[in-house]
Amino acid sequence: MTLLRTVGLTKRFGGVTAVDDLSIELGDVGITALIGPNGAGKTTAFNLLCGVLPPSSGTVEFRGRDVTGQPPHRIAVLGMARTFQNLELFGDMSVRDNVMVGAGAHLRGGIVSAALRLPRHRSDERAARERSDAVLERLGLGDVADRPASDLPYGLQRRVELARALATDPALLLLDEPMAGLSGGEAAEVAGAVRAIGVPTLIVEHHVETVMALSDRVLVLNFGRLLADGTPAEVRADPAVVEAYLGAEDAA
Amino acid sequence: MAELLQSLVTGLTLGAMYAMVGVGFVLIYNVTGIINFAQGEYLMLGAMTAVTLVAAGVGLPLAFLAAVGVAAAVGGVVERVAIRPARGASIETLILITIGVSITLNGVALLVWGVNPRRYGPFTAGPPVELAGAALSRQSVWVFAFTALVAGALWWFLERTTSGKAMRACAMNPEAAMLQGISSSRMSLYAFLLATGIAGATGMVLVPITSASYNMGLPLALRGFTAAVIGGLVSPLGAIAGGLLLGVAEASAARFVSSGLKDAIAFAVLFAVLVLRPQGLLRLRLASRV
Amino acid sequence: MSWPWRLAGWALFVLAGPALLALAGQVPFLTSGRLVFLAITALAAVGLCLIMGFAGQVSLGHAAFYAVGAYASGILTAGYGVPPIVALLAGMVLAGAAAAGVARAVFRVSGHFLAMATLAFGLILYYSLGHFRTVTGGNAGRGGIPKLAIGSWEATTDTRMFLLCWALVVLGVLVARNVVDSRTGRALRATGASEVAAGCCGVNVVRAKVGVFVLGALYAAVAGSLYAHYVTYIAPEEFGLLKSIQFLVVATVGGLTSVWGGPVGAVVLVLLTEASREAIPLFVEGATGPYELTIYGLVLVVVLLLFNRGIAGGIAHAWRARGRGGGGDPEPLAEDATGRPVPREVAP
Repeated sequence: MTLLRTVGLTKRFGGVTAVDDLSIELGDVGITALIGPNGAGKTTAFNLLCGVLPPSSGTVEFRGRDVTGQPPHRIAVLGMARTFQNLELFGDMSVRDNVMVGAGAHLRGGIVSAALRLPRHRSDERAARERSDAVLERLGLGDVADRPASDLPYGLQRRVELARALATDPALLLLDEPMAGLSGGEAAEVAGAVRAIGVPTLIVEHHVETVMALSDRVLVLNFGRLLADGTPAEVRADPAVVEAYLGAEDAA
Repeated sequence: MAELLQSLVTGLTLGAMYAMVGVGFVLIYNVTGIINFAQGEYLMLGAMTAVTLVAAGVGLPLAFLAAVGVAAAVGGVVERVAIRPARGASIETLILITIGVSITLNGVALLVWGVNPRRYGPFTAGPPVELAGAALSRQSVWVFAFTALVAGALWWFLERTTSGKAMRACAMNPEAAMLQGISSSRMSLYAFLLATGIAGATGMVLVPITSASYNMGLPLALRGFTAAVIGGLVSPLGAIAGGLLLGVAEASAARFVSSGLKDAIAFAVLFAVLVLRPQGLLRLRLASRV
Repeated sequence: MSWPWRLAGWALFVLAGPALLALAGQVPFLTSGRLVFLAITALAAVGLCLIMGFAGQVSLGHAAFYAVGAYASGILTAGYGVPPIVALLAGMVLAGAAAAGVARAVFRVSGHFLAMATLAFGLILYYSLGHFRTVTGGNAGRGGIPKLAIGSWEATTDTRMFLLCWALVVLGVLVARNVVDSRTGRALRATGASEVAAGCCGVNVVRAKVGVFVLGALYAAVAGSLYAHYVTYIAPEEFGLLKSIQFLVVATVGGLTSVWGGPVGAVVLVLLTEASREAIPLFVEGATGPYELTIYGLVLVVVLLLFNRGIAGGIAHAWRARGRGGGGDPEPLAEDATGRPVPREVAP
């Protein structure tokens, strides 16, 4: 079944076309990698998918609904969660509160029920709390749940972002360079966690080898255009990809 | 027709004052990213200094220099003591600091000079100048001349001198400017000195029209800010044009709508521009960023 | 904090009211009448802390909602004989509606632009109060407003009025705490830290901000009603920019990110300014006018430069740091945890 479909997705910044006529389709299983040289438009593509940026043209369809131009929170509530390349944690808040923000995505109680402590508020809080604690346990963050997120070492902060995204109960997870700045061991841990989660995932990553091993399918972007689409083995063998990206990487 | 012309002339006089205050906002905003809420207080300091000296028998030219000197000196000290230490703080904190500075200067002025407004006469005595049926006070002529002089001098400074070019570079791209060896700290100080100095001079020139009092700064600062916003907040020329436009609008509103509502109308303009067109109403091609 | 500590804190807070009242009899410069203004200021400031500390929106127009509450009370009770408590509620409804409209408009912009837009709104209302004489009484103001009464109980003395106001401050802080400590509160703190990330977590950023802006305005409206019924006379003078700035200073000095910021800031500033009104004339001969402004300004700058969390925020932070056993701030992380250049709101 199709989970996500983009048709002719394009984003121009002034004279620069960051994402150019991107049409992709993701099913509701497996891990798909989105790779490409620096400036290929990967992060911009993410921002278009989850509504952080409106596209210049083209459409995004998620779970059978046209979400083009919808605000991020509506797309998030529909089930798309993401992490950020440059961590966007809520630094002063505790790890648990960070995750509870995600867990609150599907709750409906508002400011009035909170101000007056109506029964609605109590049941909401309990649900968010239980969901968060389950996710924290699962990602091994139970011990640091009460620490401010900004106090944690970098590797754990990356994991808190993942926990926060998972707490929204996503149907699709977008991970923007989840291994950036991590040691080899930590990167492997993250890869293992992503595999174990079992939620369909679109992952942008610079560690080409890690991502090739992790993914079922690889999309290659170059200058905002889709250059290749296939299994890791197919992509690796594609001469265009080798020239545009892998070759350059080797040379560097 | 004469009535229309008269409100145009009145409006332009008001507008020239707003323009000068607006220029100060632009200079500081461009170089430091701060809206200096205290901008009006430097105008007040200039006016008060000049009034005090003139009352003590000092001549106008010397009083002018003293007004500029005192305002710029206080501006420089404030930049070093209150603004510089907070660099890197959030925009919210910086706004609050400049508000604190504004209240403090206000309170100190009140303690030093008391509540009563003071004034001196126009620079040149004589009846108003007749202009196709509209009357233009002699001091208004001075205000126009002063505005033109400041605009010209600013243009020359920013376009023709090394310091001015450095300041512009700093505004356009702080990082590149730093790589060129331009100290953003020094440029921030220069911007404050320049903007507060201009404010002090403006205050001195305005005394015969508005009189000087400890609380004269804020209303003018708010209009100067409106002028700067109308002009897009990044160009001194835009601020001048914005000031003239606002002055004429206000004078027309006072004459043709209701004088009691002219203030409400001025701030409705500010509100509308901020909310609907924060990039400013005027897109002046030649108005280079500072 | 464990519950006995928390309970002790609240007990201390509730008792601070009577304690202030007892103090008022002892200290020359503090009267129970001043305490009523202190409580009214504190209440408005609690609302402003919500707006500024939790929605991250500098508001320079808080006095506008204070004015809406005051004028609703004044006009309805003095002009139409409506019972004060009904007028107070009507003021809240009006202020809430006004705040919702203003918030929708001004939240299109941020930073300086938002601050100045709220300022402009406040001034528009202020000048309108002076202009539309038939409704507001114009610059001469409007008198004959009855004292606050709830049923047969009337706030006829300063002591009664203060105790009522203090009870409302306690209630106000409690409601603020409830909101901060909820999904909405977390969503707002999250929005303050990273608007993009909050949105991607399903937080409806605009709704959360508008909601808290409206809530904050309700505090100001109640404070305004209390003012009108206490003084029994209202004129635009009380509701100008200076009042907005006074609320702002009280909230900031108390601590924007703490629900206690309002009362703490009000107590500190009112004591300081009242004392300074006694002290300054000893040094400056013939001082007149609102010279206690100097203290407001100085305290604001000093607090912002030295402890930018405000007094209540600083104490809470120190308490938490103590609980963690580790002093000092955590090491800065990643490239953008440190000095990212201040973004300009509008691209040139």
